[in-house]
Amino acid sequence: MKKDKEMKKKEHIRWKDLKAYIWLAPCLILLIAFVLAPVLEVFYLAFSKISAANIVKSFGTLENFQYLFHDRDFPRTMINTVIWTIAIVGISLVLSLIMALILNEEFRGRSFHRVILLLPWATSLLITAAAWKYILDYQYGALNALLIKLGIIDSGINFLGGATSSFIWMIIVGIIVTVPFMAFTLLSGLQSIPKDCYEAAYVDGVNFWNRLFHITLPLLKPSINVTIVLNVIYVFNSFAIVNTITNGAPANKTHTITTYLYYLAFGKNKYGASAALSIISFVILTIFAAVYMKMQMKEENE
Amino acid sequence: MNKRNKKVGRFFLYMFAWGMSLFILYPYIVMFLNSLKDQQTIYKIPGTILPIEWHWENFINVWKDIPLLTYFKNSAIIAVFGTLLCIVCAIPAAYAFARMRFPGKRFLMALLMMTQMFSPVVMMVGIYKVMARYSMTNSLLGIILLVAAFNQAFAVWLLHGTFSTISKELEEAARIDGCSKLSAMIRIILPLAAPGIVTATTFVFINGWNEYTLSLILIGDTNLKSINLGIRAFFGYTGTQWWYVFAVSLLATLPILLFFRILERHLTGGLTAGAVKG
Repeated sequence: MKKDKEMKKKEHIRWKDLKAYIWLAPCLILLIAFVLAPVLEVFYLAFSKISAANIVKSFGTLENFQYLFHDRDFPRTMINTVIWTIAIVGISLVLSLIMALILNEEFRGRSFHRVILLLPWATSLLITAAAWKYILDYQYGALNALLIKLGIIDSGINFLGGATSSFIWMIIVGIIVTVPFMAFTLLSGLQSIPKDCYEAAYVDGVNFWNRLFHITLPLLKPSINVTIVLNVIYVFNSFAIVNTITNGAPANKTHTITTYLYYLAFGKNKYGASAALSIISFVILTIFAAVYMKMQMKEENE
Repeated sequence: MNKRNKKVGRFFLYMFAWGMSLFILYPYIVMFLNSLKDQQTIYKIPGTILPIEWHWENFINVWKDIPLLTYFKNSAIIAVFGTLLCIVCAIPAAYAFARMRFPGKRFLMALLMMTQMFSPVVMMVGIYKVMARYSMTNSLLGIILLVAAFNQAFAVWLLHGTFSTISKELEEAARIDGCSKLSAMIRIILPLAAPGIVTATTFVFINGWNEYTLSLILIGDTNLKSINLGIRAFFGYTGTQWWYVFAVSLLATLPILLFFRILERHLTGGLTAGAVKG
């Protein structure tokens, strides 16, 4: 009799457990069918021999990875992606932090700046990238027109002429679209710091820099961490800016991983190599996430 | 002396803020001025800043020259239905993560966060092949399902944060009064979670409206193109019709600007609720 009751209890728990999965089902179905299935497909393609007509011939080969490693443009693309991610996230973080600190103060024109910071949220990256492609044009571009009018230069500068200069300009565009998002996240972090944290410091006459480094930044750290993780992922995965402005030109020297993936698959018809590059970026992102989580856990323990 | 230093410091900070804002605003000014130029003025070398003649009719003619109404309709369908599907699926999932205990919870949460990391761009070949198998290439339904799926992680994470901040007692009181779990959620939790739901909806809607990469990979049919694909179609070998690119760009930004008031009011609160829970 007692045993029977226990059994019943156990079953009851199981039924309750299953109930949670009913609530989760719609979400899980979407994720399995439209996120997990493509991921598995990528793994399947990356390790398969694929014909020119994009039909899988056999599974279990490293051919696609070998193709990538022998590809002339692969090392450049990887280096570009690292520079792209670190430069945009790093510089944007500093600029956004200053912007957030300014916007956290009361001053005339604050609401104007806040509206300006919201603008880029409303515009798609393709549109922003297209505008910059026109602005930076060598011959009829808006930036050269402005600089000539202001008397700063006599004739147009070829901003997108070389690989290096066009890549730097795309990084600048990346920073401009990243700052608004970051500044808002950091601003919301700043606003959640209680005012009385500063009171003792004011009484003791602690100066601005000491307040910044000993009170504000340590308390802002959780927001900064969230911002860094999210933006490294966003910027690493960004596609529209490079795809629109140079699309890898000149001579495939300005690709990042995402635009190169696209070029491999839909420009060169190399589905296998494209999938292999997907796997490589999965690995990079996973390592980044793991290292970051570990660092954070270590900090929390200390 | 100290006071003077402070004043100089403040001056530089304001200059920085204005510089930053101008830099962000600059492409919009360029878009506006150039959407009003004609072909000759756009391709003048060196370029002009202001239009020589102001061609306001560009904003009317563009509707006749390209199927802009179709593009707007498609973007609206993707944004509205993608958002609805996304939020309807995310609410119960976020509720389960916030309130229920079940085996595999940590694993599923981690898996969900992993999907946040893999944007559709890095697995485009996989998406293309899978959608071809579902016979959903060249289909708005396919884009809607993908938009809903790839925004799940963000929506569930944000709503999970919101639900966690709502006290359990209210809900328990409702349960004691004879409410089922479902009706307790609909009557008690959802109204209280409204700010979070609005934030999630706004973000997913913007993502859907601005969707570009998935359509680029999957949509070929002109009748199914979204605004962004329409804009891309202006980039031709024979020269880009920049005045139309910018007119369409500004028109495409308008619907989102209408969301702005909602966004600004709820943005800070909604995002922090999620961030605290991490």
